[in-house]
Parts: sequence; C-alpha cells; structure tokens
Amino acid sequence: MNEIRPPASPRTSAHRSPRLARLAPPLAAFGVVIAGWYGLAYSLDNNFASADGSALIIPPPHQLFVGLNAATVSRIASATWVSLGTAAVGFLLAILVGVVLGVAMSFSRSLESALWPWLIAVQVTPVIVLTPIIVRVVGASFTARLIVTVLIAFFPIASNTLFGMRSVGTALHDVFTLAGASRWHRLIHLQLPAASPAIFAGLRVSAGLAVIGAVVGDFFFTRGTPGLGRLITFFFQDTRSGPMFVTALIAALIGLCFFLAVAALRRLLVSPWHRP
Amino acid sequence: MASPLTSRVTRAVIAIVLGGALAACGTDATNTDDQNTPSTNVTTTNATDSAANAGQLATVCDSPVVVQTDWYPQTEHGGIYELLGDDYVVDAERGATTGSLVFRGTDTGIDLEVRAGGPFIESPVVTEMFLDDTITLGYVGSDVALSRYAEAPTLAVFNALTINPQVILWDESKHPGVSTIAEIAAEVRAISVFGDRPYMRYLVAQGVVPADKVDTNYKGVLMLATDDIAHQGFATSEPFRYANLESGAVATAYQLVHDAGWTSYPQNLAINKLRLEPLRPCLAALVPMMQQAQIDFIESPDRTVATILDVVERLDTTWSQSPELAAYAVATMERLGIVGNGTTPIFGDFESPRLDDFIARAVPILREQGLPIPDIVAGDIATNEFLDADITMP
Amino acid sequence: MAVDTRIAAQLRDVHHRFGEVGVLRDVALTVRSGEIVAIVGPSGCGKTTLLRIVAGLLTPSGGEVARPDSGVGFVFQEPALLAWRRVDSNARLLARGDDAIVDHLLAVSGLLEHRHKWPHELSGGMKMRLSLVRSLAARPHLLLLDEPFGALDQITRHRLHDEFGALHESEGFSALLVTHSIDEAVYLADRVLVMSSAPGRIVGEFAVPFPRPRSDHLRYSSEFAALVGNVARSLYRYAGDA
Repeated sequence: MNEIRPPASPRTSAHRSPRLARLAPPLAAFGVVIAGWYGLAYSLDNNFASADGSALIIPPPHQLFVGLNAATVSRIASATWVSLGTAAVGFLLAILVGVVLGVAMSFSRSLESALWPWLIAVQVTPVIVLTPIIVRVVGASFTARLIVTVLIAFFPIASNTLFGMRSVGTALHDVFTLAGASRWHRLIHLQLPAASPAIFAGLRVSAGLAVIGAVVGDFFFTRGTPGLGRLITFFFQDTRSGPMFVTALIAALIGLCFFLAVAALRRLLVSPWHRP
Repeated sequence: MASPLTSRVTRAVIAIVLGGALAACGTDATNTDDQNTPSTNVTTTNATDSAANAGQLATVCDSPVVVQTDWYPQTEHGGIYELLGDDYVVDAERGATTGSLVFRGTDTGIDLEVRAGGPFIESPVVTEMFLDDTITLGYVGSDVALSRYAEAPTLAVFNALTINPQVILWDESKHPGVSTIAEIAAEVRAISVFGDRPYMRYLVAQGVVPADKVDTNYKGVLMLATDDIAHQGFATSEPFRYANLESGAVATAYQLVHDAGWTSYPQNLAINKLRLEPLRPCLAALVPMMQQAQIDFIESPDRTVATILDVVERLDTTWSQSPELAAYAVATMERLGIVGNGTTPIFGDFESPRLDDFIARAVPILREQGLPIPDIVAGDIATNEFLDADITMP
Repeated sequence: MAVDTRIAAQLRDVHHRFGEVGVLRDVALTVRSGEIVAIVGPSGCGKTTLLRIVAGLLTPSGGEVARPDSGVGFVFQEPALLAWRRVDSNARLLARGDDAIVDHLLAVSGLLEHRHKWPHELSGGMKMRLSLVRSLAARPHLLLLDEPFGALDQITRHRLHDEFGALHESEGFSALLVTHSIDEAVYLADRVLVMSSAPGRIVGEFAVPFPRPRSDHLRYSSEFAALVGNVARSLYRYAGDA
C-alpha cells in the first residue's frame, strides 16, 4: 500500500523569512521618513542659499551633525541632563501621584466626585497658564519643573489606576472577603495586581507626557542652565538648524527610551500572565 | 582738508544747479565726482554726489529696494523712512511698507520697501537675507554679523546708529545712587533679557553680572513697578514709557551696554555678502543717500515721524508709538550720541580700532557659546567704501 | 443557636429583600456534617443570594444563620483565579501554611504537573479544578458552590462530578451546592432541595439514596431518571409560585 507522504515541511524557508518579514515594515517606514525628509529639505526655496552650503531651514539627514563643535555638544549635553533629570524624576513622581490618586478615588465615590472635575481641569489647562503661578509660589527651581512635569503627566495614570481598581471582579473580592483579608492586604494582593495592566497602559501614555512636560515646561524656566526646550529656541535665534534638529531628536529619543522602558517593564511584569 | 562748512556750501550750490539741469533736461547726469567734490583726501570712498545720483538710482538699483528691519517701525529706523515717499502703501499682513524712494524731494524713479521685523519674519533677519532673494539690505548688528559669518556672511555698508541704544534699566527710587549694571546686578533679584543674548554672556564673563541672576524671560512687559529686577530696554523708549505709565510713573535709571563694554555697532545696513558684486553700483549710489537721510531725519524729524506713526497704526498690532515718545527718542538719540559721527567726522563709518577691539572681545564669547566663527577682521564684516566721506552730522 | 458539631450550617426563618423586592421568604435548612445538599430552582429564585447569606457575604433582612466558626469555602461560577499568580501560588492562596495538603489536592486533581503554569494557560475544566483545590486547601468544614460546573462542556462536567465526589470522599467536607441542573444535583447530593421562584422558599426535599462512590453508569439507570423526574415535577409545580 502506498504510503501517503505528508507534504514537504516548509521549515527551511519559513525559518528565514519571519525575521526579515518582521523587520521589513519598520525599515520601509524608516526609509519613507528619510526620503520624505530629504525631499522636504531639497524642495524648500533657498534652504541651501548659505555661504557654506549648510541648511538655513531644515538640514537633510546627512547634514544633521554640522556645527556640532565641542562647545555646542557641551551645551546640548548640559541641556539633556537637565531635561532628562526633570523627566525621569517627574515621571516617577507622576506615577506615585497618579497611583495614589487613582487608589484613593477608587475607595471613595465621594472623593472621586470631588476630585475628578479638578483633575480634568488640570489636564486640559494649558501649562502656560499654570506655570507662572507655580513659579511665583515655589520659585523657578527644580521643584517647580517637577511640578509642571507631574501636572502634565499624572492624569492618564490616575485615570487608568481608578479604572483598573474598579474592574476587579466581585468574585475575586469575595474570595478575599471570605478569607478575612484586611483592606491593605486586599489592596496589595488583589486590587493593584489586577489593575496593573490598566496602570501600565496609563504609564505608556504618561512616559511621553513626562518628557513633553520636561522639555516644554523648560520654556518657562528662564534662569540657569537651559533644558532642551529653551536650547532649541536659542539655536533657532542663531539659525543653527543642525544643532536645533539634533536637540529636538534627542528630546524625541528620550521619550522613546522612556516608552521602551515602560514596555520592557510591562513585558516583565504583566505580559506573562495577562490575557484580556 | 577743507572745513566741513565750506564743502557743504559748495555742494549745496552745485546740487541746486544740477537739480535744475536735471529738471530741465530730464536726462541722466553724468558722474561728476572728481569735479564737484573739493575734498577727497580721506579714506576709500566713491565720493559720489548723493543729490546728483538721485536720478541715477534707477539705472543701478533694482526696484524696489527692500530693507528688512529687525522690529516694528520705530524712530530708530527714521533714516530709512526718511527716504519713503508720501505715496507709501502699507501691507499690514506682511508688515511691509512700499512707496517711491524719494531723496530730499527728488523722486528717484524706483520704489523703497521697508519691511518690519519681529513677529513679521519667521527667521532672524540674517537668515531672511539669505532665504529671500528680494531683500537688498537688512539691519545687522556687528555681533550678529560675527555670529553668522561662517554660513551667512553679511557686509555692513552703513552704520545707522553709532552707539547701541540698548540698556539695562532699573527703578531709580528703589536703588538710588546706582549708575552701572555691575552695581544694579548686585542689588536686584534678577536681570531679565530676551533670550540668550551675547551681550549678557559677555557681561557674565566679565564678572559684571552673576550668572545665576540672568533671566531670559523678558518679553517687553514693563514690570519694574511690581518686581525688584532690572531688565533690558532701549534708552530711546523704556524710560519715557515708565515715566508715563498709567498705573503710576516709575523713575528709571540705566546704563548703556555700550558703556559696559559691548561696543557692537547695533543697527547696520548690511547686504548678503554673496551678492556684493552685483550690488556694487547700486550701493555706490544708495549708501550716501542713506547717510544724508539719517542726518536729515534727526535734524528735522517731524515728517518722517508722522510717517512712522501712521505705518504703526496701519499695521494694527499691539505695538504702539506716540508723537511724544518719538520726540523723546529723537532727543535721546542726539543727546547720547546714538546717532552721531562717532570719533571721525564721517557719518556712518565703521571705525577700525573700535570694531577690531569689539571683535576681539566678542569672538571668544560667541565661540564659547558654540558658534563656529572663523578668524575674521573688521574688513570682513564692514566696509566704508560706499560712504560719502564728506557727509557729516553737524 | 446552640453549637452542634454534627451540623455544618443551619438557617431558620431567613428572609431577605433588596429594597422593596422580596428575594427570600421563610427559608429554613440544615446541612449536616459530611453531607452534600443541593438546591435547585428556577433562575432568579434567590439561590445565589441564599448561598451568599450562608457564606456570610450578605446579612439577611431577617432570620438566623449558623455557620462553622472556622469559616466556609466558596466556589464561584467563574474560577476567580488570580491571573498574576501561577497555579501553585493560586492553590496556596487560602491554605494556612499547609503545603502538604495543597500538593495532595493538586495531585488528586491532576494539576501537579501544571503547577508552574499561569492560569490563562489552563483549560476551563482545569481552572475549575484549581478553584476547587484553592477552596479545599483551607480545609473548610463547609464548602459552598454556586453553579460551579455550568460553564463547562458535558464531558468535562461529568468528569469533574466524579472528581468532586472523590475529593468529598477523601476530605470529608460538607457542601451546599446550588445548581440549575437537576441531573447534577441528584448525581452529586445526599439531599436535593427545591426552591420556588422569587421570593424563594424551600418547597421540596428529596433524599438521594444512591450509594457512594457514584459513577457514570448511575446516570443511565431508571432509578436515577425517576428521581430526577420527581424533582423536576416538584420544581415545575413551584416554578410559577409567587
């Protein structure tokens, strides 16, 4: 009797292409961005009308590092340190404030209804309105920078924590009630872990906001070493497009790093067990 | 060298004669430099007769001559508006005022377009001069010319303001007896300036102002009444405004940053250096007119002040000027030598020792900021060659 | 009430209302030690409310409830596992430091080899087993079950019936089970109580005489069918009762 042979295993070809297939879309997108960037730089009138051929408005990618002498690099490094410090500490504080607020509001409906409108108000108020007040009260200090960053970044964390805390099923709560768990025990061993996927969703958004808060908030802190935000305006005033774009890219990179850090933490703490 | 008075009278006589001849014949007058200018033994000048060239301008300059200023129209720009004919039209959206270029009553046959700066331009003036081929001249301070020389070299052809009107000012009643920036820096909470200005970096490097007192947040708000700070301003403007504040007059005192060591020529008419050759003939004819127009303005500002006030109103922005402020500004410009001959009798020239000295002070400051400035000399960023050496402010 | 160690739970004159709506009326029942009692009734008749009252999760509007001092175990309709803990951590959740019993229960339930897995990696049946293990790890005198096998397919359900029976044999707990499946009630219980529709009260009681251990073939016997039929008739008669 003829054996029915199974179809030839596609293993060999399938083994190679997934790697490439996975990388292809992001690489393609990257290529499109670079191409568009070149297109923009070379289509702007008189972009290269300078004496040394450097760009006056938008430098093309290969000209990004023109003008990065030691003094300029040092300025960018100082600004990066200021903004990175503000964003990092601000982000951590925003997490603390956000989680505490979310947990507190989940415990008390009256607290929630009291606080919620104010939290929304802070969220939608442009920072330019609040910053002078903050600076008046605490001075133009690192504390003020932190407050601005926290104000910009905390809301998604608070809102998602509240949502996550509330989404714990009644049966799970009953398990803890029947076991005689204390309020604290319930919070630490049931509610917070159950809320963690939602909290991480909030962290993801807030990671970018913390960087924005640090960089944009910098515009209002006009004394001392400038952060990335103010440095960009200084470069603009001198039409140093290369350093200006490099500084902007660094700000973006910081945001990306924060985002990736949150993603990595989520992969470690949530992904193994979470199935929505 | 003949006395300034004699040459002036001589030239006036010739101007009348020639003007009459032009009117009668309606043809181009020939360049009569060697015959008509008695005194030629001064520095490199195309000693052209500015009056005679009024009619010639159309043959050497494109119309319109576009001047890009750095701010809203103000009396510091008087010399340029002096050349604007009464037929001017204001484009409020672009911030540009266009009219016939008229020199001392004679229509040159081409147009002048004066563009306001500040919020009307997306990039700084020097950048605009390279991005926009239609700009003939722009206001470029010597410090800015230095900063931008590597990639956007400019050449100043006429120094419209000899002394920089920029000051640091403070509330006199709160700080009596203080007369210098160094002294006030020690007493106030902060010194507020607009952005990361080189002159402030210079003052910090000199130890005049402590670094932690520099606040880059100045946006033009007159806050001495409510805040114990000092801030930047112009000798021609803020003291008057403060003295006439609706909320209560504030007596102010100030020091010019020039006197504190930042001796930059602040508001030079400059060209995009890459266009020097094509512009030569035009500059030869135009620069002496600008010299004379600036003097004419200071001596008899009323007509042009009215023009400026009218343009300001038509631009319809938050910027305002009043006849009283204009009068104060003109008087201050004369009193402090902001408009003046400098140390040489030539009006509007760049004086070498001073400019060389300034470059020596400024370049280290600018390089420390990260600006890539090559080793340049005064002649790279400024030239007296188009000036009429006989034009001097009485 | 006097403490009687032969009684795992007792309700007397229990009634309950949610606002204006009467949910339970004149409920009296007893669960003796080691006994499995099943309650059947139409949907909305208050069976779950009754169970929660027995558990102490709800205080009745009136009546007396007696339950073991050491507390009860509760198995819910859904497994209610902690998704962020692995199988053995979930199993241990309520155990009072007694690892041996947990391992034993896991072994008996066939979960021992899965103990390092996350709950989401388990099938529906395995999750339910884990839920049972978790409750039993606390060695409760009384186990309450609220339609625990309702979400499972028939084969898994029957398998779990037998496993439950085996656990009952080995651990010796008392159980009060609420179900809408008469088959299940008769198969598992020593006594089946019938509840009327809301406001619910006990309207029937049937003793289940079949010996233990019970096995699948019982389901296809005529005695089993007859008993199921009797219970069903009783239930339908009172299903429309006000």
